[in-house]
Amino acid sequence: MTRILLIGILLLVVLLGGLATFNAGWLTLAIPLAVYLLYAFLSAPEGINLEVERRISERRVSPGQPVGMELVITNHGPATSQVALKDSLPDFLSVSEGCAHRLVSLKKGESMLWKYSFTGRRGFHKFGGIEAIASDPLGLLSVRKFLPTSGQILVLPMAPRVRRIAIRTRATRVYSGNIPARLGGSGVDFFGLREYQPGDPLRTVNWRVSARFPQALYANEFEQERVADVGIILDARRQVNYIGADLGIFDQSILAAASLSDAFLASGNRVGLLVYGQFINWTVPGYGRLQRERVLHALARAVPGDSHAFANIYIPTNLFPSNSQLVFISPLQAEDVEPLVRLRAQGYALIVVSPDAVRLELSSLAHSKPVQQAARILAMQRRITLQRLRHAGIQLVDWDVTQPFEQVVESALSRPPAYMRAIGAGGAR
Amino acid sequence: MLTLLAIAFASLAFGWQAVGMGAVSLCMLALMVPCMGLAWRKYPGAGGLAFTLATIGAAAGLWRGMPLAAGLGGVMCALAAWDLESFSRRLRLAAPQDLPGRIEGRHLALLAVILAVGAGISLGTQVIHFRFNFEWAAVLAVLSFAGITALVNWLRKREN
Repeated sequence: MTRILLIGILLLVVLLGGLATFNAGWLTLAIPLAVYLLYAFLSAPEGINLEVERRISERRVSPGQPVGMELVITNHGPATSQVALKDSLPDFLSVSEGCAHRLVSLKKGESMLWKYSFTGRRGFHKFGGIEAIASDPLGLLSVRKFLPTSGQILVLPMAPRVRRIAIRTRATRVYSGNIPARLGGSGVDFFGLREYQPGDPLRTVNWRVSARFPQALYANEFEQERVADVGIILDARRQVNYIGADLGIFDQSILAAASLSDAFLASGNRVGLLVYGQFINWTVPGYGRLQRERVLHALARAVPGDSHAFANIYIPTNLFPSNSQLVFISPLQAEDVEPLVRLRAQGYALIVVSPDAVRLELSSLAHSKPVQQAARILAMQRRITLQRLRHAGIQLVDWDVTQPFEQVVESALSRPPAYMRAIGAGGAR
Repeated sequence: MLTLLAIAFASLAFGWQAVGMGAVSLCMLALMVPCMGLAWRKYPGAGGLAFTLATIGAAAGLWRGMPLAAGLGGVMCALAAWDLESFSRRLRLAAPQDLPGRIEGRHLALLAVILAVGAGISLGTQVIHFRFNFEWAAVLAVLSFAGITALVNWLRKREN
């Protein structure tokens, strides 16, 4: 019940009761209420005619970096005795200095400057406007208005720097990079021998072989190093990322995606991103700094969704030809093994980076016996899932999120896996 | 606010005691406890509930011959408590640079003036007496009903 209705009803009851019962006391009782109501009526706001101009010091920041907000509010209407102004901030932004709400009185034509600063975690927000509520001094009667403004803020995800990730794809692109391309040419690693061709530098001549077979000169051939297509698939399914509560496992996946895409792009590779949440959100593959920005923007906006159909995941081969590298970042479910094995069977080189949700959740729960038992069962299920993936020839990074990502990934991916090295496919890198 | 609620219910309890109805007086004191408890817990409807109960208690008391000062005092304190509850909610929106202390002082002064005017007029009516016959009372009742209903409706429409 609104305040005005309550006092109105009480006044009416007392007044009518007094008149009906000829009780002067009741009428006397009604007088203070009537005076209160009358004052509110006389000082009621006529309306809100405010203009707001918003200025944001930065539009693109990293997490925790303070951003200055300035709002210039001008009153084009009559003087207002009390106006409450509220600037709504999303959950991922928090005020670090000043206030995101004010209670002011503005004279006709008066302007005020409202300043505050905020910091944020990862995310993107478009500021719609501010809410203004003008009321009489007693707060009985108020007028609301939404004052539109423009402005946006992008808080990019953290991307710890990973120095080197050794990948070995069957197919590479034409540009030189640092992925062994299984093709002879200029490079660092020995690839094979061929007959010396005029124009070959003399230092490539293999004198031992040439001495053994004197009918011709033989030259060393080195393995070409090229760039490759790398597709990063970020698992944004809600049922995988929100186990018991929102413990931030999705943000860890985002961090991993940002870090890996940064590393792959820095090595000259062509990188694309697929965020697999409610919808499939593609960032078309590309090279260089511009692509880094695109990927970070997409990651900043990524939110978990309710998709269940990972089994039917389709990777368009025009964007990612089979035999290219895919990196799947997910806390993983047992049901994810089959589609991943299918991708592997299609020829994709696959790396799975899996933040350990079980260990993270366990750290937030009480150490009771049933919890420990449940954790053991879940950890066992996870081990089985990871083992099945490993047996299918998928490289795995089992990430305990209490450890820094860059350390974990460098120790796991700085060299090709043992089976590749064993068959000579991994190179001696 | 808690003090005002305590004064409001204590005043009504005193009024009921003065008319020789100790049981109702105890009821008033008993009602004070949950109202103050709710206000202490910052339950949003506590002020409204206390104001309603105090008005009903005062009206019933005046009908039974309660001293006017007790009834009027109770209702005015409850009205002030109800007002301050809502004001404290509004004041939460004030930033330090809005000088909440000054806003608070201004509001308390305004409330004091309004209540003083209300009390002054109420007590003034004790000196000036009008005598209505039944027809006049009926006309006034109908006019009051129509007037207040129209006013509240108009204010609510404006609010929306």
